[in-house]
Amino acid sequence: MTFSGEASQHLERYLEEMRASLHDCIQSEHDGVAEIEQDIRDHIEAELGERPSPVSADDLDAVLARLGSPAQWVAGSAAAVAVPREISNEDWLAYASSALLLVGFALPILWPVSFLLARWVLARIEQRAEPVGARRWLLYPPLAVVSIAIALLILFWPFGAFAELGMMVARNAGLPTYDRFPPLVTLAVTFGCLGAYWTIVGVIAASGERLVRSLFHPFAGRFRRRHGWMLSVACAIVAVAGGLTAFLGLR
Amino acid sequence: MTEFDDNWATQVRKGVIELCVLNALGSGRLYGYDIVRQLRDLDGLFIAEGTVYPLLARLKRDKFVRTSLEESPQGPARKYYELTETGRRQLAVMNDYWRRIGDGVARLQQKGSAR
Repeated sequence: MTFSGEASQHLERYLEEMRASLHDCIQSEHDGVAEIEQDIRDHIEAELGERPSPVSADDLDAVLARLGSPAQWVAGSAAAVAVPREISNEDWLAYASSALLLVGFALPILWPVSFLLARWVLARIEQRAEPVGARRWLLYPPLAVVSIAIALLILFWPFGAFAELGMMVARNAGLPTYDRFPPLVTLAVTFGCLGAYWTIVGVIAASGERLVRSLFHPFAGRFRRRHGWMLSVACAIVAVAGGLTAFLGLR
Repeated sequence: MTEFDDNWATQVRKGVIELCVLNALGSGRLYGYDIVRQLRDLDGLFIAEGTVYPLLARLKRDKFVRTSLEESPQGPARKYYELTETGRRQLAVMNDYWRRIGDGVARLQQKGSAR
């Protein structure tokens, strides 16, 4: 569902008012405010989901009018939300995963453990439809470290083999390989092969959209099939450019 | 309606809305928006619909309800609310209290109309 420009402004203004009103009464209950905001967004989606997009400001205003002014909620029962949130098991486990990440700098085998723990805690939080809130600062670093490592591994594991292939091609063509390292042909073959490999990775990513989102959760939430195709096309260009350069270099 | 009527009705609604939400959930788990729709159908309970969500947040804090996410064929995953065991016990206590209050008020009304 998308909103017209005017409707978007009305919605943002309304949510801003809501955050201000609830923060005044809920104080530091950031998670509670985020959760209520998500409920309000879901409510609007349920009310207007079947309207043709973009939703007009008039349609949105009618829903917002029924929701009422957030100041009214605060005057009513919302004030009672000001109960301090208890420290949950997930909070402690989030601290544990972060601690494992830090200890992992001395003992890297702990990084996968911290990653798995963080993923499990995140799944529990999401299953209960709670906002991650400030816990993201504890959970996301272990996830980011291992996700980046996995991404680099997927993208660059054949680099050594391709570089060796590039040098072999240059040697077979009688071109110097080490005295003018790296010769153009070696680079062209290496990156041409990498481009071809990344093209295949892009195709796999495009056909396994869910797999990518799941593997790199929560960082790849916006990954779509088209991004895989874009990667494929860009890398196919690199592969062709590498192949052409190598071909011309060998003539 | 006079100003007095307005204030009185507002006070009654404030007190009764939690009972209504818990009773709506008494029949099973519901999507937040479905709870609002059920309350919307109640005669006399004119509320700002948004009031329900902070209330649900508080009921969750108090462990009377819990939430779960479920994939929806109509769009993004939906958040469902359901009563916990504590919530069921609380609902029974509140319903019992409501009945006693209702009975008491009814008795007073009968006395008043008999005079």
